[in-house]
Amino acid sequence: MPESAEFIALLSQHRNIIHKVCNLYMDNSEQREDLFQEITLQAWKSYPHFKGDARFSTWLYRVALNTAITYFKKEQRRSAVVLATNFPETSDTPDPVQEQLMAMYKAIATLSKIDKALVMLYLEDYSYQEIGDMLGITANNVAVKMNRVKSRLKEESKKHYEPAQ
Amino acid sequence: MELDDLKQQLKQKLSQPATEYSETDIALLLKGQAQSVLDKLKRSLWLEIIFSIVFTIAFIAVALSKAGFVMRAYFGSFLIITVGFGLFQYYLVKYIDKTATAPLPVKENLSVINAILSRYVKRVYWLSMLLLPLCLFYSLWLHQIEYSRLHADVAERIFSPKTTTVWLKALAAVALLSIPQHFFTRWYLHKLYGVYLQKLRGYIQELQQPEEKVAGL
Repeated sequence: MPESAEFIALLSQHRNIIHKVCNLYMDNSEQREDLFQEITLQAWKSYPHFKGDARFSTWLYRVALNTAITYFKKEQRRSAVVLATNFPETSDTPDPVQEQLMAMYKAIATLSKIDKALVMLYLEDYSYQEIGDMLGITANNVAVKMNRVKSRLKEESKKHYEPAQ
Repeated sequence: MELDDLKQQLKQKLSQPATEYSETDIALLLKGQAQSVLDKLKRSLWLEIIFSIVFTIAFIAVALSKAGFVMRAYFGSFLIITVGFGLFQYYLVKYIDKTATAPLPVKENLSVINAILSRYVKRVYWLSMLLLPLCLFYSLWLHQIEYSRLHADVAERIFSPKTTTVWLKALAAVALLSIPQHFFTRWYLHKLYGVYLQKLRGYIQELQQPEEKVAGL
């Protein structure tokens, strides 16, 4: 199989990784499409370096996060509201879980790009050691940062969600 | 409300695509042009290499022409500088290709981009600051040499008040022009890469925070 066909097949299988990163880092669908293309291109350029000694998904996360963190094209002033309202649509009917999700989105939107990467990898159930390897910091440092991020998200999401009495 | 309570729902929501891409769409995306800062820098470097080649050809033409000694020496010297400049730009392109295509850990990747951009910005700054005085004083010096080849009263001419005045005027012009040149170059480079570099350094610092300090927050 030619290298490009092999790459396209692999990327297609794992494209939800890129979607997750785009949804986390970009405010609107146009920006997400731009970032999707950029990640795809950077992954293609880096593909000769993929030796297969790591999982393709882990390798793609690394490429995608590196690209998203260093990507500044058309970046606009962001606000938590903009990100949350442009986030993948939720149901129209009020639902406490959906409201909590929205509040959490808004909280995540206030994080720095580095903290967003931490949240992304944490949601994917990577160990602190694996997250540390991807970010280039120690597992201990990941644990400390993650605790700080969780506390911040808890506080921040409270501002956007009032449980019904 | 904790992050862990919403983990599954968040994962599910984040996976929702803004646009669905088939394998054919992905194949088409691969034909696009990358927009990362290093890809843009590489395009700038290739443009500068093309300019270097064009100037090299032009300088060779002047150096080999029937122009006077001063002209040939002047453009011949800049021919060497231009060739060196072009080769250095090419080395930088290869360096970017070698270091920036391997998917490094985030912190290392940020450090590599920061190092490449910082080096480039510094080099452009010094090149633009040195070019004007270099051209001016070199042409004056060559003019003196040319005069000494044609006239006998060299010492008298070189140490004459008139020559001293010319050199002092050149020095004053360079000093005066260097001030706006310095501010313009800094403004221009800051506009091109300054904000980006600040953000990169911020992220590196964020990843470098000592654990004790973070724990103490």
